[in-house]
Amino acid sequence: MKPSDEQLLDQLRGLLSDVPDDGLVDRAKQLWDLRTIGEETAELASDSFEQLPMGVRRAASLERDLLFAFDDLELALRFDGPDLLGQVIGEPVLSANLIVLDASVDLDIDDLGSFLTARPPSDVFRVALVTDSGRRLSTEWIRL
Amino acid sequence: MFDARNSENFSNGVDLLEPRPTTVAIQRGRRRSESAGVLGRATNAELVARANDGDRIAWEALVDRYAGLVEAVGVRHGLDRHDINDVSQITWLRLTQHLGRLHDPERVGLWLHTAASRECQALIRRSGRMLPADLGDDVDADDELPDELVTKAERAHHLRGALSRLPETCRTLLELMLIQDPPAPYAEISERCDIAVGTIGPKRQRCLAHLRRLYHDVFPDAEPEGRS
Repeated sequence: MKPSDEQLLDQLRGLLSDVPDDGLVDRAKQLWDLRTIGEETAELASDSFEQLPMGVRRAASLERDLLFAFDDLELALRFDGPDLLGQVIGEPVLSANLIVLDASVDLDIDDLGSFLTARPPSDVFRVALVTDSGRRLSTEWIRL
Repeated sequence: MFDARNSENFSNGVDLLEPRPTTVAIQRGRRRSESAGVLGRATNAELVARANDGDRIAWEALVDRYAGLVEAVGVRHGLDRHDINDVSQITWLRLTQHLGRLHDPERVGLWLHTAASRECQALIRRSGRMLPADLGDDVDADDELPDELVTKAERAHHLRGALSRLPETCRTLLELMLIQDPPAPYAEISERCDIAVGTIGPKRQRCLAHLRRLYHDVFPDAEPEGRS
């Protein structure tokens, strides 16, 4: 049965009271500028934080291990206090960057594929790599 | 180390972001519908494909369509405004990376719901808080609820779009009757819409009928639904 006009007006009021926050919408639209093009994206394969019991998660939050897998290549990240240690395993890396919303920093990777840098100033970041063979890889965006 | 001012640090062609209330809900909805332009009625699969091809307007249309859904997921998890903004940000960021890899682009709303739910739950766990009692670890545990939320968001979006396509007089009349609580007096409606008081009732009926037709174009099998 179709609603009466009064019922329809009531339903419209309900729907229209649910309008999302303007700032949230505008920020989501601007994130388009951060899209990645031509990169393989790796999702998080392992997160030490998720393996901790509930009660100890907060205390352990300064130390955290993340593992990303790109087919035959892995990227391990360890957040340890103010430092971020990382290692790429499986293929030599030509360059790597740690990217946050409004900045990026070159990572200095040694012959073993390891790097040490400062913990990113933002909770949201990703790591982008270019391998010796020219593959462009990126972790998915991560929130610490 | 990190220095956002050092442009030499910026990498591989990535465009970096410098992140940046009307009082009437309909006005906000109308503005968004205009920003999405003709894509407001495109299918999700079309929007995802165009966005993946680099069409920013298609991306904005997706945001217009589902921003409310992502926000509603955060509200449902009991998050405050700051956390909801964080969840929204990471959810949409991840969609920028997954546009070309969605198994079923038409169900991008459900993908966003799932991604936002997981992020809400991760955020709650990280903070040491407890999940709301009716939300388990498994985002799919509550069966049809995600679909219902997605459908509600889609209907709300299309309803706002239908409102935005009404003639100005109809839109103003319905806004005055919908948004003001209690509804505006007939004398004010008469003045604002430039119509005689005695014609307000019939005019309202015609406007609602027009709205039904516009909405029916998008959801032929459904009437607008309010929040349950």
